[in-house]
Amino acid sequence: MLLARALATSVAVAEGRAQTPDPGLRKLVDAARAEGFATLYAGLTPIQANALATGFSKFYEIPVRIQRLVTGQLTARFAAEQAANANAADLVIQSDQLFVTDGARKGWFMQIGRDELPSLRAWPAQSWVQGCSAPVVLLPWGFTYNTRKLTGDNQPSSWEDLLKPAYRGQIILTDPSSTPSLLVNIAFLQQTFGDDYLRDFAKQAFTLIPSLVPGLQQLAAGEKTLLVQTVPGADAELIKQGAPLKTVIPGKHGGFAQYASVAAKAPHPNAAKLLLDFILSREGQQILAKDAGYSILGPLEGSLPGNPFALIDWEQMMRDRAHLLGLLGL
Amino acid sequence: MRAEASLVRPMTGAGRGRVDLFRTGLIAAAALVSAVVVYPIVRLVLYVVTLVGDSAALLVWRQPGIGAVVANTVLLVTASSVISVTGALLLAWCNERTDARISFLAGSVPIFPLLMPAISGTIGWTFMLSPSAGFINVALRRLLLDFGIESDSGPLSIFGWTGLILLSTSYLIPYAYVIIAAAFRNVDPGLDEASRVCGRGVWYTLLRVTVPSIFPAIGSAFFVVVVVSAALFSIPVILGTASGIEVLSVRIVHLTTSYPPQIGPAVVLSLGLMLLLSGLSAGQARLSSLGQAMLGGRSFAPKPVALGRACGPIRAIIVSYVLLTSVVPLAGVVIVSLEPFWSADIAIMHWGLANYRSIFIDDPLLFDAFRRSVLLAFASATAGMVVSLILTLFASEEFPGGRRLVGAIVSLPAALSHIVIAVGFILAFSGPPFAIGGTSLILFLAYLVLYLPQSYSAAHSAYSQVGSDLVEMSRVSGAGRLATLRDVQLPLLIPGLLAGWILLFVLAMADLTASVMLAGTNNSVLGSTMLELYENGTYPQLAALAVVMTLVSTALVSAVIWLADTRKF
Repeated sequence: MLLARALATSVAVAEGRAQTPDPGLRKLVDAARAEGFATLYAGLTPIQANALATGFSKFYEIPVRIQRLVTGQLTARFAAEQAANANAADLVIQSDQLFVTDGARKGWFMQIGRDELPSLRAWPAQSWVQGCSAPVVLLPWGFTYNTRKLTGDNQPSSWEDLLKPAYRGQIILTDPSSTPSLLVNIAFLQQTFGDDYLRDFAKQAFTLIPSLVPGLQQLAAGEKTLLVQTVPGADAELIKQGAPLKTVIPGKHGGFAQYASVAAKAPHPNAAKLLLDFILSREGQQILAKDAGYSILGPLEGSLPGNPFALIDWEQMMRDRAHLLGLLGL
Repeated sequence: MRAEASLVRPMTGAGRGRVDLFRTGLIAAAALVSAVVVYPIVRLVLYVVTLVGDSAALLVWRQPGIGAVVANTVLLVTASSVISVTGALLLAWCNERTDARISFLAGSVPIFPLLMPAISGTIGWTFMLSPSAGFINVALRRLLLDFGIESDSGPLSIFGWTGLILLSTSYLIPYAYVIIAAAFRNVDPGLDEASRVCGRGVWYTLLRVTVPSIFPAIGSAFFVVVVVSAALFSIPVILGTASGIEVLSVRIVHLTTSYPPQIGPAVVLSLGLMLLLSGLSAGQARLSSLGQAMLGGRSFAPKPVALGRACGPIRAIIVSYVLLTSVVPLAGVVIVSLEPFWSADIAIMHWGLANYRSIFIDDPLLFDAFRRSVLLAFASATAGMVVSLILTLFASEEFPGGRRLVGAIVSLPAALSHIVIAVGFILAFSGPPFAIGGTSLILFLAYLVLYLPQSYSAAHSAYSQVGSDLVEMSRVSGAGRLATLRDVQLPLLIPGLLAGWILLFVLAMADLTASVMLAGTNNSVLGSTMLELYENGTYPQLAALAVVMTLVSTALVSAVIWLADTRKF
């Protein structure tokens, strides 16, 4: 009897949270395993998405299929699928705050009571948005430069440095008109430094690129020297392969949140809820925030030091969209 | 009387029934195809109407910079279409009618640029001609340094209007070449030979005799390249965005892929383009009805025109075209596919197959996308040419008065961005009552519809080359409608149909924008996967995928060409 109990305990340890004494969660785990897998629509970086899927799979032995797209395409695809009643996503992680509100209003996201999931019970109530979404990681905006092309005093360390004449024609800017989260940093710069800063930045003759990953590729090749509007950790894989890159998050910085929501018509609803529970747990939060951002739960092992930035007023930002883009000459 | 009567088989009741069945089958097939084309667009327009009502038109003109977008589009389409048709005409004439023909290249010249998807070809040129890190520029700067000229950028650049027009042109030439070359093969060169016998020079004969004899084919080719260039997305989204040049296709995609999607303005812009292209289609149909050189009942073997001292330089130009449109960008993607990341300094000691392994071993879903793309391309190309032939027969023989209607219907998919078509397909077919969203069937239907303009143009052009006298002779001899089609028309149509099939195959396999919207986790295809790699992944992996796609396309297309040659079509 004692041996059986010891064996059960070691199995419980090996399986981690899967054998939690929470009967509700155990039932959810069994139901999720019966469904087979979860489909995650993710606007995360490849490193974050893969780490999340790997971590979840190790905990529960349930594979996660990842559909990665930039947030603009992700939300458009999800919205079109909802309109056609052909939803394929179980869980959506994306950075458009207004999409969360819109999706909740239209019934696209599953309403989940805070008592339904253990991690949700521990989650700050004010961060459980509309009863269906949570900001699962806060990512600051910064910039990345090529360390082979910019050396010594030429290396920038602040947003003001980006206006130096030496950088004219050498800057890649992730296109703020393509995704609202990219406009967030522009709004932050305008609020912090004023309209003149953006007008002066426009004179730097930057090159636009739709998203930061190919921008990092061009930076690593030496095509340009600076990529403005990047997030920490996105260049980790390139640096590991020898690319001469360095990312700077200036002392004053803005940022955005990635929101997770379970699809109301998820094909695998239990797997989706279990994945959400994992994401909101300390383990999941550590994975997402590691070397990249901040967690709502506070400082975690591997998360960025210091306090997270204040989230910008998105509705005001969208009202100012034309003005902000106009200051940049877009 | 008896001799005349013996030439005409009396129409029996059974014969009348067969003709009616054939006609009925044609009408039914044409109606079904038209429904598949029109229904998604109708659903899309209804969707727009329910959203924005009458203010859709106003929303278009409030779009920021819309005037510049339209002007950029007109400039790009006009310049690239004119240059590509001119280039295709000269290239086809050199290959089909002169001694500058390079036998081992002639059949493949138009195909080379198509074997590499536009997105990967554009990326390849970016690797080669980016001002600072492009491999060619790095080599040129090293050469210039030997002459004391130092620079950290250039001397060439793929970005800007020049790069945009030239790269677009290089991808448009094959579309025009396929049609014009088929016309050269099928048109009796007797008039050309007569002109030269009368003492006229090579270039006079080309401009005053040869070109007019295939004018309808040139018109068809021009229409096709205008349609394709207006909807070209992957080249403008990469080069245009980096150069600050936005065209309609990119604007429409942005309107539909942003959230909230602005489907109303996107559809209004597309509907305007559709009206313009319908007008061009009517013009093309009118051109086809003009007098043109037809296939007679005799076979012929055109004697190549001797170009003399011009032969060598012209062959050099042909080889340069092949190198610039395929070998150079392919070299760019091959190099980067072997590197851990794109670097201006080519370090062979760091080369390896890690990117290929990561794609085909570490990611089993990618092989699934690859296999699905090949099967869908084969199926949609085959169905596309069959459907286009049905529509051609319907418009030309069974319902001539409806030619304009058919032309308008087949031009509809070309006028709308593939993204907009894809949204229409999601609305029309993903949910009930069809519920084929997330399946290969919705992709098959989308490819069939999207490339219908090209397939119809190829089929129509091939059909126009076959004279009606052959059909009449067959019918007078007593053959039924179906037998005439099978035994007389089809053998003559097959070269043109096969050329169209090849074009459709490579287009479907490399389709990008529609695939992004219609392909999902369970029905992923290479086009959507490549865009994901470009926007979310790494260039080396994208380059590795581009190399493999090119190799597979080359193998399959070569097999078809070899098969066509051995069957002696």
